[in-house]
Amino acid sequence: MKGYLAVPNPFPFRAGYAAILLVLCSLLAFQGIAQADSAGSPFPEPGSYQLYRIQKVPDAYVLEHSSWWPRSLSTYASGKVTLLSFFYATCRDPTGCPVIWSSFETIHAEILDDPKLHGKVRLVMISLVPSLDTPERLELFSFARRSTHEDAPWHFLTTWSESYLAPILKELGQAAGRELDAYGEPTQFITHQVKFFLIDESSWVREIYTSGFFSPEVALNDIKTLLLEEKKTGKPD
Amino acid sequence: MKSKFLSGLIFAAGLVLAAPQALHADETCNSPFTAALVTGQEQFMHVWTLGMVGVGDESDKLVTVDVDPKSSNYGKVIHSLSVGGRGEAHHTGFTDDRRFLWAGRLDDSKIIIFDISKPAEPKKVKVIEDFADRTGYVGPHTFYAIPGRMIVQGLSNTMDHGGKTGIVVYTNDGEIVSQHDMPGDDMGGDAYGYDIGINPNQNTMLTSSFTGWTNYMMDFGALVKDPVAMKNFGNTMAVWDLKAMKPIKVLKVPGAPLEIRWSLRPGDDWALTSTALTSKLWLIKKDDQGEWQAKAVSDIGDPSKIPLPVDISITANGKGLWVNTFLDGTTRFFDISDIENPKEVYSKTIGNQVNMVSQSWDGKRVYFTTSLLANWDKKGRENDQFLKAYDWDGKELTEKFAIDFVKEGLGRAHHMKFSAKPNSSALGSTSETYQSLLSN
Repeated sequence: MKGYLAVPNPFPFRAGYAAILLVLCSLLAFQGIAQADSAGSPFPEPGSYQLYRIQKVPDAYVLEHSSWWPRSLSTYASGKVTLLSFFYATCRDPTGCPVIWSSFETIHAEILDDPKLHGKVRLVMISLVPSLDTPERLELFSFARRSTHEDAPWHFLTTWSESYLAPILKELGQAAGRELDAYGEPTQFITHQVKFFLIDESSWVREIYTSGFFSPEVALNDIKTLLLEEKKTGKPD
Repeated sequence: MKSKFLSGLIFAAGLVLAAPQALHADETCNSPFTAALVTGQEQFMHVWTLGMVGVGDESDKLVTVDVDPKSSNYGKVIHSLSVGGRGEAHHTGFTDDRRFLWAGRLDDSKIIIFDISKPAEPKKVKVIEDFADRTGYVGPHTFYAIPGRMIVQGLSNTMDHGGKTGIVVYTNDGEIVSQHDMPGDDMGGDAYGYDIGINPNQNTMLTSSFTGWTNYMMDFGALVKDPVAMKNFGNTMAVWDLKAMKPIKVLKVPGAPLEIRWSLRPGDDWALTSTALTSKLWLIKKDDQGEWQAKAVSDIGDPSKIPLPVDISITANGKGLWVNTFLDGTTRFFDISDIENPKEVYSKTIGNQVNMVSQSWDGKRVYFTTSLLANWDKKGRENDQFLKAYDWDGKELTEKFAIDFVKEGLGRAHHMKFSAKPNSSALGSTSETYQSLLSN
């Protein structure tokens, strides 16, 4: 997944991609519905399985709204079930950030549609290009979702620099880098593995997804499984 | 608020965009969750090599070979990293980000993790020494990546060194997440383990079954003459709910089912395995009622001669399968276009013995190594130990190079993995954080 770092663009993908998406959506939605009707889901029902503790979310400073007020990443990864991923605003590869955006939009809509999920699930996206995705620029995304913030909070975070970002990537196992040119020198193109991290109320990563096999339906099942677990025990095991 | 219909559309779009990665996962035999597919010319081959008494430093080692025909070092060993001792080096597997290679030893149950971010110079970054002590399992065999984690399939156990064993899930940093016994009597299973194969879209994990430490460390000649020992081989495969990590069904597959290969062809939801002792190909597929079933679909060679099928490698298009038979040193290519009726269409003797086979994504290059297990390899002059590279034009294998691992002072050549030079540098690489990203 790569994108070209040129003019900052607050929109996740261009109109051309949106049109392609719409066509593909229409085709696949019907195919997906047909498959679901005939074969059923191979995935277990929420609450019928356990998600194991994989790792703690690392301690790190991130920025939201302002460059002058560093915040702990853990404040965005505790107290609610959290779905976290990495992106950058100028990402263009249709198999990269647009997949993350569309998946988050779907899950955001599902949370808003289900009152049982209101206020219990948080979405977090962290920029891979802090030099361009400043807190002020990311505010555009937050502003567009302010009316739904109470029921389905969606945070857009960044860092002061790549030096502050790199430890987060390392600790979470999120591969991201700059493409090399023919001489082995880093270019402006960013390449990154699309990953989603599902985090419980106690800051434990409980599931990790990659784009090729990410399904909002399965992620929602997992979210509900964590909420059922916490409802039953008060805290995860 | 978006409508559910729109949500469905966006969800479907995500699937569409994601589909190429899902369906074309990796060089044919890796976990489908493994990133950085080498679809073009592989540049390096890493060979997990057993130390051999009287050969070189006698230690297990990771040997790296330049396999880029455009390189001046083509066909040569460019790096060798000894890890100390002989612990029955066996299989390896990449982490999902392909940054690290995990390698196991079946005797002392050590797991060695190599950093291959600079593939021409792999580095040993961690050794997990307590696999057996912490889990009760012995013989970490298969290393199968899932996002952020590594599934490790054991072969045996600390209690009796028999075949009952289990699966351990580690983080990519080497911390245990969970462990799971193989299905036993209560499900009609034998609790044995060997390989792992995952079909993410079906939320299905398949496992196969081999034998325990006592058998795989026994001299092969003595083993085949021991009727009691010969009963201690796996005869089942297990179907698991991957999300729940629970076995849901046991399939009867007699004769030690070994490597599992899911078809990578879009729309296919079937897998193949071969049975070592009964010399058959088995198909695992859902029946009309949606139940997973296993059935034998072909003999491999002449089963009465016990050619001992070992590694298999499926083509990316799901239409061809390489099958090695150890005892006659032969590789066989099966046309599996009709998966219910595979046909052997080509065979070639590679050496006195042959075990592992690895093919490029386009199927045009095929590599072979020789060692099965230190005590099962042939003796004396028949004990070939090599890596051989061939071109495959669909009709004939043409040898490109061969490396004699004994003459080179390396040892017994076993599992192979491809790599290529990285095409990116980690974010933060302009600062000291780059090095920390690459280290463990």
